[in-house]
Amino acid sequence: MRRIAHVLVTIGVLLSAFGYCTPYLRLRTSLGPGSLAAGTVTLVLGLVLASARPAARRRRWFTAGVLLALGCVALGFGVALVASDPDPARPRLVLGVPLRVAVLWYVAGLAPLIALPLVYAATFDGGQSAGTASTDR
Amino acid sequence: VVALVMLGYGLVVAAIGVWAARRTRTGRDFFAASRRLGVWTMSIAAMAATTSGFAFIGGPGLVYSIGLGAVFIVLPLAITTTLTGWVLARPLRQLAEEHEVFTIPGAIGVRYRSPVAQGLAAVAIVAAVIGYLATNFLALGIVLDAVFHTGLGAGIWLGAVLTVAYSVGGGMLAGVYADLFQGVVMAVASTAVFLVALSTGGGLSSMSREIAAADPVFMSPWGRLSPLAALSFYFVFGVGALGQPHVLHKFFMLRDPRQLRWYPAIMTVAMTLSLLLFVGVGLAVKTLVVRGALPPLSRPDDATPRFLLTQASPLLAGLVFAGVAAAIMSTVNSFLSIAAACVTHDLPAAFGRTVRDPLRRGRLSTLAIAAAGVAVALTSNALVAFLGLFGWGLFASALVPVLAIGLHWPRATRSGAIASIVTGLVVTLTLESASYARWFTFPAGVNASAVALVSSLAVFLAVSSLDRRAGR
Repeated sequence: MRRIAHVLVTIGVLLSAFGYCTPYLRLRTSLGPGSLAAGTVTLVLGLVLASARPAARRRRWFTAGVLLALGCVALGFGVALVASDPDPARPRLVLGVPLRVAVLWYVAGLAPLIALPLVYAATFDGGQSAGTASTDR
Repeated sequence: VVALVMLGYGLVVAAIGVWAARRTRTGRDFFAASRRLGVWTMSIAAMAATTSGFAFIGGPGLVYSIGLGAVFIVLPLAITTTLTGWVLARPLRQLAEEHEVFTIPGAIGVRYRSPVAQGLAAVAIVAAVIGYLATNFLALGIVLDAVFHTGLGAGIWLGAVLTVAYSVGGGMLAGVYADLFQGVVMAVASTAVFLVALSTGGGLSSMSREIAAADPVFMSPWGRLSPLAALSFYFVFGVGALGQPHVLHKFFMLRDPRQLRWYPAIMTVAMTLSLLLFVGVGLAVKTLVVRGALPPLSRPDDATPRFLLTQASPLLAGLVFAGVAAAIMSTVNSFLSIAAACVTHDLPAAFGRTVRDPLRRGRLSTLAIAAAGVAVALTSNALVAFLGLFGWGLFASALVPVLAIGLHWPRATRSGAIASIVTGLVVTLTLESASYARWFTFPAGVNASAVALVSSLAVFLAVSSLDRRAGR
């Protein structure tokens, strides 16, 4: 699992770096934001997998919660990037804000805000300390 | 009424400072509050330290000026507190127990067995703290000027003297208990003003419709930013949250690590409440300007003071100004304490030395660092939000790779850590200085903090991998 996490972290950093390079490379304008969004989500997923204790990783709550939360973030970014408002001056409002903003705020923002702390508490192993391997070099 | 509420708030903070100063007898009391906090105190204190003048003054100003794209600064809150819990809380706490560590550079020094890495991390923290202090002194000056008509310069000095007095006296112990009080004030004030903002604007839907009709770009997901710039905020503030020493330092103070189970939940609720003002006031002021009820702001940082003084009741305005002052002072105190610990403990340790009287040296260091922050605040002439970005970015680029990746990656090496911290320091300082002096401009969406963070992450991974392959 550590190897997979490390690969994800590396891919996340490379995608993010590529995103920042696109303005200099004169590539399609949507390529940069898309790459940065994908890089950020991949990097965060890699960091979570690298740091979660094996006992926590074995619990279904953990896998389901992390994938759901980061999936929501990716979905929110994707909708904001790909969709467009037909009439920005008179937008269709959902929960008080234009549709694309609503997907971003409530799906990419609110859903993980509620889900992740609960997953953390449910999979917390108070008796186990962090790996000493990390301090022993 | 506003001034009386502010004075009452100041008296409570002063009383906490006096109480804590009497209980601060050793360097460990001064720098780590003697590891005696419960999870509620620690989480709310961490929230108060995170939510600074940047969030209460700079943030609403940014929403007013660039639209909903500014929300990408607070959107990562959805993941950052839990991510910090998973990635950093327990390993840092374990290092503190096994090695008697009470600073973040100290933890880095132990992890990589490198006084050089420890010293470089301390240099990065002190440099970022001075930038962040300037942000917060500037914001405090704006608030005191708005309430007491002191003028910006005198407001900066007045706020700095009050905050430094309780920081020098009570150190981290005063800071944490003042943070607890201030955190509660901030959450209550932010929630109350958010409700007033919604009421003033006629509800979220009404505000959205009116602003969109007058300024459609403002109400798009990215506001006036390019998508790359908005997502860059998310990247820098989301991933960068893992390198904020004033928050991470709080893990050293927790009495029982098993209580960490509830840290993300408490911190998330507290942060969400305290950041309602960030979005609410920015939208409400924009709506009032669109309606013609307020003249356009010449300085975006005036959004919060202008809204409170024209739209809220004097009692609520006093409470919110106290909340703003609380946000600023709690952050300043935390920064002063961690920077003083770097100067007193970590920099001498990098040269193999120890300080004989850490308590006295800590107090003197606090004064010197505060003076540097005031000097930058008085002379930089920059917006509150952008000085805050500099501080956050430097913390992130110097500390995220060595902590967030390095604490969990057995193949991370000392050379990788040193190269990464140096990269973060050099890239941030060089690019920010060159950009400030207008020697060049970044293309839309690229900024110094983001480039520095990506560079330091890449250098950390590359140097550690090459180091291992070379058999070191």
